[in-house]
Amino acid sequence: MDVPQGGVRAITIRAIVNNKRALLGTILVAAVLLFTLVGVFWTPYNPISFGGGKSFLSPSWLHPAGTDIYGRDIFSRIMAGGQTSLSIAGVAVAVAATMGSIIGVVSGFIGGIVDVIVSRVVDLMLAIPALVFALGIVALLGPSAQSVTVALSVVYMWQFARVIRSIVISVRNKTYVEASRGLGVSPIAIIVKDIFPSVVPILVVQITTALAWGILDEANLGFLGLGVQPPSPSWGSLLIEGREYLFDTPWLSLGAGTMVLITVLGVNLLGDGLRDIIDPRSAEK
Amino acid sequence: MPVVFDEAAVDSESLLRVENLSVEFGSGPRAVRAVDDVSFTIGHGEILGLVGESGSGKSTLCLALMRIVPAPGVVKSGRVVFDGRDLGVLSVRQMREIRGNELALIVQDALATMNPVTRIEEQIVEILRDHAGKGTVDRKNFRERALRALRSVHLPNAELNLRRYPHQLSGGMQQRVAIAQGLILEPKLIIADEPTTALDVTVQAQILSLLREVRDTSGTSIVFVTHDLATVAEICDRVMVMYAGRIVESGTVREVFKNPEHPYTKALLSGLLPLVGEPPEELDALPGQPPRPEDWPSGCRFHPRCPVYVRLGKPDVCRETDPNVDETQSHWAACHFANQEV
Amino acid sequence: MFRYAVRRILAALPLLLALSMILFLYIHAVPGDPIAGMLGPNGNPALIKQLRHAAGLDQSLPTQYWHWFVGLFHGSLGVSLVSGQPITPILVQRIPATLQLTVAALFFTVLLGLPVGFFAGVYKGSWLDRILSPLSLIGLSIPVFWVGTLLFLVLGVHLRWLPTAGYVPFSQSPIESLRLTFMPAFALGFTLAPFLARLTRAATIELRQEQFIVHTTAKGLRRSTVLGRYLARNAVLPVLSVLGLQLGTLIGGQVIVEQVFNWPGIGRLIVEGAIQRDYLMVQSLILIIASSYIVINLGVELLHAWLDPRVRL
Repeated sequence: MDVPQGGVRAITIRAIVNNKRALLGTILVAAVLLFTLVGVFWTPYNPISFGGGKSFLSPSWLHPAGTDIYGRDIFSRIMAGGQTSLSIAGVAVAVAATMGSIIGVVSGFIGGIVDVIVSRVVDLMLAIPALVFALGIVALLGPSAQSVTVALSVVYMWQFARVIRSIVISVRNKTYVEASRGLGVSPIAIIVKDIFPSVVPILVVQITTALAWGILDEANLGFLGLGVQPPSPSWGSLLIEGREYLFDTPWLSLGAGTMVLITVLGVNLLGDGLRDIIDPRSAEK
Repeated sequence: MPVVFDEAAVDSESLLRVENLSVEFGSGPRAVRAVDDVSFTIGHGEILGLVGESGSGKSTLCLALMRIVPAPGVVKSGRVVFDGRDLGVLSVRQMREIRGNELALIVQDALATMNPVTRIEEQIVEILRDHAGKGTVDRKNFRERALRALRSVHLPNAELNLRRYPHQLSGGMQQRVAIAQGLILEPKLIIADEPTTALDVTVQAQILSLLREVRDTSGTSIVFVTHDLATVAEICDRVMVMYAGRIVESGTVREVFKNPEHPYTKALLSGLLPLVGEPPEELDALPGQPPRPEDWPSGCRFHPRCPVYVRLGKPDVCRETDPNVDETQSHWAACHFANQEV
Repeated sequence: MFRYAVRRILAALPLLLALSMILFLYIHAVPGDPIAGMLGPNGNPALIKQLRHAAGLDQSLPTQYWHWFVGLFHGSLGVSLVSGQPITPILVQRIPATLQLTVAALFFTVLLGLPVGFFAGVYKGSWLDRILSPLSLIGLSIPVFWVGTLLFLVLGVHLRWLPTAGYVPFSQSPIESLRLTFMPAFALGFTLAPFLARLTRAATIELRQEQFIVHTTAKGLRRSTVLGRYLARNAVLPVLSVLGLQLGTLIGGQVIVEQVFNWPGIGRLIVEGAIQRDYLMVQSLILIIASSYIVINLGVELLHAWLDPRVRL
């Protein structure tokens, strides 16, 4: 894999404003973040307690997404659920990126038999479909927000390892790295100063991709009943609740699903835009 | 097929007549003129050699003759009259019917021109099929003709090689197949753009004698582009020397080789300037590098490298005026001092 | 070709062995006792001990793996901890439904994705090409359950054009079986097709610059020949390779869709196992799914070799 030309420094406010996709993605992501942030402190109705409102109300001005079986306002629950969903995805991706980068950098930098073994293991782990793998881990740990976070970190890190390794391998034999080696610079210093900067641009793009997966998979697991458990709100748990009353309140599922769609679309747009900014050649393809 | 007749061409004996042809890449003030105001003719059964350094516009000229200059290149002006028809006014469909049928192109890298995933048989038959009229598609007959075409280019084991894929053949065999593809419909003109450059010497000689055989038996005309002056002497009837997008000298091989008039041709023939490989840094204290299309020199384009120009004390005419030539002469050179002893 | 196939298949065998080992280690590296987890906080310690013994969990890890491996070798995936039934027959029973859905989903994916991507690449810059990029981005972002639920509500509940859920074997009632397959397969195809289209477009655009495509003009070939025999046949090759690797997305999506439409496939089986925390069931099913991923990719590789004469060496 080639190391992109532009690099992370190319990501400036001006570059984002000038890139349609990056701009639209940023706006969507910012809107979702704001929506979620407000939801942490304030929601129109209490999202958790059974307040005695009317159940199964259709969407109206008072309840933009209707109410559920206990008469809770679904819009408030979607707002409150955002923080759980987003933090699961965020933490899982952060852990996966860290672990995966370490595996990738070490494997690619050391090379030899270590690299061969690590690459084979990574290939095998990637042969297990992510969602299937994640639900297996959740099954062992028991469904909860923590389990989902652990499961997704463990599942995603292999993709990071593969991508980062390929970059490290392409950089490893570059003249400036060879020069540092010749000067007797310690391996740690070479990794930090010479290799890591080339890894960062791809890492940024990979992180946005993984965030999109994370939000989708939290919802997917929730939908299967293997995610955050009701009554605590998350986009995933709203989906499993919604499934039981699909005929009575389709907006429960569709509302949370639409929220997931908007968020993932925003993240993907941002990721695509960033890729164009970092590596202008990719924009032509 | 409706034929657009050209009055001037009917009484002429030439198969192909090129008039003031120019090809530009890009548009507006930044357009680069790769082929500039080129005129020549080719007679029936004639082999015309075209020599020049890389970047002199030879290949672009070949593509322009077939009207397949890739974007952003365009034929800016001039005409190509082929067998009485002005190719510039033909429709896309008429042009498609002429290409591969009456006008064939053979290039240096034969493998790169073949579909990597189909067999040789398929690649020859498809040319027959796509140029056959409706209702005349006869798979078995096509196969026979493909086989005959391979035999005619002296490809050993033609039966077996028909079943092979391009990458399974040697370079020389690939070039033979490419020639067979070009010849199968008995074109009137073959444009051979360095067909032997990538091959080793023995195979080169075989391909050359094959091309001459084609001309002798079928009366096919050939434009033969090459870097190699020895090859020109061997198979061509006439030769044109191209420099910086223009033809600088033209004549029969005998005349040009025996009595070159243009200083550039002289430099080539005396071995002072090589046609291939790195040009020398300096050439008798003159710059060795050929100019690039984006900055062709003014006046005579060879003047910055011309020994005659220096010897004559750098006359203004070389720098300021394009050499004017009578292109109807059998031998001419685009040099202000062509006919003077200097 | 035959020797190539045999060589590739032999090379895949150690991969499957390594997979079973890694998976086993993975499952057993997860902290906590699966039986205690399965029974929940109110589990009776005596019962836990008894079940642990029955499942062989009180033995050493190598012994446990050996037993599992020997079982696998004889075609036994072990015994469900919840129902006490052997897993293999349950799995085999689910295979026809799963395959039917996978094939139908692939059909829709290819039907929607391949031509759109191909013509967007051939006619780069056309309206088709311009709408493809935003469309594929939406496709990548759209949750499968969302599409499934929408189809279910609109076509099934509201318009009543199609039966909402369930499965009838094709051999029993072909028409009803196809009617039932339509929505889940379409939902999957709809989310995967944009990805395929994007891939095909990129492959086609790359090809158009190759000299053997450019040279078709000099040969005077017909447009249909160029599109079919030259572009399409060559564009399929890179698409095929990447598509095989994307199979994981299809499998993951299938798990979801089987849930939405009550489809009795392997995806539902693994979700049921996971909800009941039947670790052996989950472990064996993951192995089966991952193995089929490897096997299918092997098949894709062989297909690639068959289509591309340059690979066969």
